[in-house]
Amino acid sequence: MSSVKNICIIDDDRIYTYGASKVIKDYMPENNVISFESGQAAIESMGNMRQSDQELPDVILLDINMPKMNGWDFLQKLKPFRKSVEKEMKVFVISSYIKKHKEELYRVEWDDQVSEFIPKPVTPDTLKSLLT
Amino acid sequence: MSKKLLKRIKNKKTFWSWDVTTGQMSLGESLRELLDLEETRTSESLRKWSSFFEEKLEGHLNEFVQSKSEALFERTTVYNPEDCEREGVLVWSGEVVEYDKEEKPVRVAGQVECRWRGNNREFTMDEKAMLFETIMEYLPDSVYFKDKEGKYLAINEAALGILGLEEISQVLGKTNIDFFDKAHAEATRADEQQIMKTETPLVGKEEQVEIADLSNNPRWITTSKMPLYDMDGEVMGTFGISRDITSQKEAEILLQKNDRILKNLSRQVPGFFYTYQQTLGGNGRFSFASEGIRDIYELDPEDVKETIQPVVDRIHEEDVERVLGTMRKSAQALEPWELEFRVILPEKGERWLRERASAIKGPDDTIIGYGYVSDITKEMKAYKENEHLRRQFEAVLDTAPNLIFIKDLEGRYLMANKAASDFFEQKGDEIIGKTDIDIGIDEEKARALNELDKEVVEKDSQLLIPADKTIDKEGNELWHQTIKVPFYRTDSGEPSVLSVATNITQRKKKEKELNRSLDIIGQQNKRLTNFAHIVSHNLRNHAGNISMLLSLYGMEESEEEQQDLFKHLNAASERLNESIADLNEIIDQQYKFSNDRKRVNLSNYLSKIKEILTSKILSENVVIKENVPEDLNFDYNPVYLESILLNLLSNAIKYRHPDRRPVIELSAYEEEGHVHFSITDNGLGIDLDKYGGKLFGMYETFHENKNSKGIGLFITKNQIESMGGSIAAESIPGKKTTFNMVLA
Repeated sequence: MSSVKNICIIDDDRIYTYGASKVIKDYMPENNVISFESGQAAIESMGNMRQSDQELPDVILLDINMPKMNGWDFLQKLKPFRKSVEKEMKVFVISSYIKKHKEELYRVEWDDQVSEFIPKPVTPDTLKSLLT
Repeated sequence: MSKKLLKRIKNKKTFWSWDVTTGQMSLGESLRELLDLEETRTSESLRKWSSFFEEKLEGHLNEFVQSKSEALFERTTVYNPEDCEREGVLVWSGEVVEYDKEEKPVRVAGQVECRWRGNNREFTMDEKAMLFETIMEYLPDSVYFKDKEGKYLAINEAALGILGLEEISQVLGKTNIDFFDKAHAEATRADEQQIMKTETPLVGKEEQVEIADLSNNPRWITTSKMPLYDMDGEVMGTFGISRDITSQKEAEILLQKNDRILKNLSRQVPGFFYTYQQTLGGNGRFSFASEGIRDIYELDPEDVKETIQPVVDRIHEEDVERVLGTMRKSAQALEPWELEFRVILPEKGERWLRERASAIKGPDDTIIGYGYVSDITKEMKAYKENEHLRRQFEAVLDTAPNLIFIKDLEGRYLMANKAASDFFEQKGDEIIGKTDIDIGIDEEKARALNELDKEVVEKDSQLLIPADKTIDKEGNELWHQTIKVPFYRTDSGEPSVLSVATNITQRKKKEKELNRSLDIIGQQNKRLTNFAHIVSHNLRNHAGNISMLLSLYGMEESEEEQQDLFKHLNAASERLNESIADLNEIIDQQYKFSNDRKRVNLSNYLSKIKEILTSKILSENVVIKENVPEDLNFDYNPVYLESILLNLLSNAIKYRHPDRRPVIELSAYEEEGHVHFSITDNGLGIDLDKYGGKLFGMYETFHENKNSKGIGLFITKNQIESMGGSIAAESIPGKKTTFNMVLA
């Protein structure tokens, strides 16, 4: 737990982003948090990070229902991006769209892309156990 | 005892029976009646009968018995009882009918014939002789008497003529060999000897003889010959009567020939033909019946030679009166007749016959008829089946709820079933010959229908009118589906059109109801889905956020952080409130009465909306190009219209392109009672390939815009559709978006 992790939250719900960021900052202060309101903003920003050799996120908490580019589209874009970098990036899909009983269905398409599918709302405890 | 004799005796019942040993004479019932004897006097000794029968009868019987003769007992006694007015002769005949063991006769039985003596006086012998001579002389038949050797004893004038002689003396003492050829002479001699030997007459022998007459033609003679007895009853020769029947015979031969020809001919004719003869008041008979009678009536032509009864007996009991009545009438009026009737035949059973006949008056007031009878069972059966089918078909047609009718190309009704007549309010057959205009269909429609009929015949194919609307007297809509097929009239071959119209009003109504309910269900389904969406996403998100913030708030020690948390809690609570408010708006809108229409002017409403949006329009420097007729008035829900226009216009401004001045084009026109309205902007646009399906959904947002709630287009679409209109979008992402609406 000594290594610092970069955590990226992609969600258009600012209150959620605020809450989730606060949980991470309060309980896992060694981690860095960045957040984006859409997949579009996130992928663009990550492209910039790669170019300027900045540290890419270790963990991405991804929402599904977002304007402009939703979570699935983001995952689509992330696929080639991952290949172009050596960094291992864990993705957790956290969304009210996610139904636990449908996980197998998501797995068919996103098995190697997504570590876990978690339905919203999430509690601070869930977030803590997810990141440790 | 000879059974044959006994039978004859019993049948005649004038029998008698005499017991040889007791001398009792028994009399048959009818004999007693004949002699007016009392019933009790059935059997008495002959002596007691003496007042009736001559005493010598007993002597004759005893003599007969003793002679053991096997011949018949034949005696005549005089019947002349004292107290009886009748007198006459009883001719007794009989034979031994019973013998005892010693072969002695025990019983003699036989018949009695009574010959009553009339009141007429008797001729004297002289008179009798003269009568005989006269008869002999004038009798057209030839009479001759011959002795045992065949020599002529006497001959009359006619016989003399046949022999070609004039004087009787030329004949007497001679035999046939002197006048005829040897063969004939020997044949007649043999006949005579046979007659004398058996004492049996030869009656009506027909023979062809050659006589030395002028023509030299052989002649036909019919001869009856009898034994001639002397005073003692001994055979002394023969006598004969001959008649020249040459002309009858020739006629007969000719007739037989004709008959054969007719028979042969009649075999070629399938039916039965006849000539019929009826004397005044007498019975009819078939003077000629062709061979066909065997087939037609299963009778022999001979059966009806004397009476038509066998034919009458064959006629079906229900038809016999009709047939006989017609025949009687025809015989009186001498008119031809034709009838169809049934017969019951022993072999073939019931058959239908057709008889054609005519009658003329014959000689002596007789009626002569000529007729021909043929078997029409097959024809009749086919006809009946046809008739049966036709009736059934008509019944089906009339009970069918469909309107079924045939019209010619001039539009005249040739046939219409009950349903059709009722529908057009025509009684019975009065529709026949009328046109659609005649029965009150408006001219334009009548012409159109006629055109369709012509098309059907021209293309020679059927045509379907899926739905045709009529309004009945009460103003109700009636819908019919009609199939038209070309129909060629069986009589003239003229083309016409058969139409079968089915009332589909109910179906149409159901269809409409179904469509409406499908729409409603569809809309409600969408709303429900959206509602579920709200509950599951927004509310849960908000609630989740609040609970997360609250738990963080509980752990937080820093006052500053607490305030920050509290601020966010507030925001979360506000958003929750907003969501609930949106929900309210939607529910509210769904329960509003959408049909609350008022006359509205589109241009005026646009001005009103622009007024509301003035600050935005000014701040964003929006150009609005308006192509809306000022007099475009229509009936619409004003609240909806305001909401629709406001929503679309504000969207157009809200999603403007950051790099250019917003231009919004509004245009409207009216067509078929509906207002077509479109609004085009040069804003951000939207990828409809991607989001088209979600564009009008609830809480669907496509732009990173602080004010997008994803509820406006949802409500707009709902409002437009609830009024019966439609809305669709087209867009080029990054360039423009157009919303096209039909405001109904």
